[in-house]
Amino acid sequence: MKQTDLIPNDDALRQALKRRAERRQTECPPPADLENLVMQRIMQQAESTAATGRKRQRSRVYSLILPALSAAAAVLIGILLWPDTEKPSAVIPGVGSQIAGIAKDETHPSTTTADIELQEQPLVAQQTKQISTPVHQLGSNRISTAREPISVGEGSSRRDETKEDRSRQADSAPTLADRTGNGADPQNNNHEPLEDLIAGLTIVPQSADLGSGVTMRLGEHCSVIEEHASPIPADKQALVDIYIAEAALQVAYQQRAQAEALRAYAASITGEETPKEIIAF
Amino acid sequence: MAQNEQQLINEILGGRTEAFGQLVSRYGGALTGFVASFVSHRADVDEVVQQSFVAAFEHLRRYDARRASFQTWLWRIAHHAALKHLKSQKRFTLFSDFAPGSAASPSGIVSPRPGSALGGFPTEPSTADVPSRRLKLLEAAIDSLPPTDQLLLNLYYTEERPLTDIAYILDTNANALGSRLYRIRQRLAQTIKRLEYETD
Repeated sequence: MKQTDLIPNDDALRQALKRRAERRQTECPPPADLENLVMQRIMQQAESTAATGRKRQRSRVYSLILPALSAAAAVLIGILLWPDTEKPSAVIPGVGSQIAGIAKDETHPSTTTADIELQEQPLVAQQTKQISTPVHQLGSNRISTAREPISVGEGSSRRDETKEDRSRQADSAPTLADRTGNGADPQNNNHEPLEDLIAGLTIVPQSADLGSGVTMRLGEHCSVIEEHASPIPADKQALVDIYIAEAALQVAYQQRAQAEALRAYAASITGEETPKEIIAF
Repeated sequence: MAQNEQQLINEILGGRTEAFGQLVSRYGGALTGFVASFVSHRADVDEVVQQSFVAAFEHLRRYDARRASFQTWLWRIAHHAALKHLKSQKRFTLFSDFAPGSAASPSGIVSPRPGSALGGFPTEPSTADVPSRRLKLLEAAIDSLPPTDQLLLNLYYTEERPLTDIAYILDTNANALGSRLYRIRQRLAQTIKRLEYETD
């Protein structure tokens, strides 16, 4: 028998398939209540779909609102915590406007460095200058020079002063006893007593590192004056350092209190609870 | 008929859900026969038929009368539902589950030959006509085909549907169906030859 004869023709296939379908219909007749079964399943499916839809709607709302709130809170917190060196100037008004007329003294390297720093922090330099004024009253020849702002060439001009000029200034300047008594300089009305100067201090630190920086600046500033006057007593120097550090800490406390107030305000907007500080300002 | 059917569909889409029962009663029998042509287990057939109608109801809005008739669209859903169900059951039934002595078993069948892949095959040469014997061999060979090939043969030879409709139901290319039919018939020939050798 040829291979091609074995391939069933269309008629043979139709007959075989027909007999097979009849057999299958006998084996698997459709259920009598097929319509009821199908409608029941449709109703059950509709109920479960409705319940799932409600759940999805709720989760969709949550999934939209929560990220938005988180993003808004993150932006607010980022703004609050943004490290800004100019923030103290902005937070505490009037600080940036007090700029002393400090210029470089190019002839003295340390003076140049100190003056640069003083230019960056004019208030510190100004206060330092003011504080150092009564401190250095021991050296009467320093009074007039310390009171005035350090200008360009002043150091060199001072350098050019002869010893005779210095002695002349020292003789004309009031003594320490006169100054400490009433705190006023009879020759210059701009001098103030130490207590008045301290009361009027409004120092703004440039960075968190106050001690070494301030000390450095003070040291350098003093080194400029030291060229022309007698050395600063150690006890007075420490007093000035301590007072400047305390004033700087006060400024820092004020900044922190303002940051906390802003943070609390942001938390009140977002509805988040903020941890209370252990130490109250 | 088509217009009434379209009106019925519009009513169902309008919210009259109970009208879908008329479609179920109209196509339930034919759909059961269609699914039974390539799904063997009774429980599977019932489950696939019900799933097909539920799926048709859920996706009734997607039905496009310009693309295919409602029956063709329903057959397509049933085909996908059957394959999905069989895959989930991990049961691709290739053979008819004839039990010896059962009412469903064809006459002349004593018991499955040991080692034979097919059940219900006669152990002795039947005294019936050769064509009858060959028809039985052919039936057995068809039962040995994969479900999709059985479905293709049923759609083409029994329901006499055009190849475009069959391609839509099976979600395949119409041009490939012709060569596929030829390969199916070659496989049937090989199976019949093997069965004849086993029975001789």
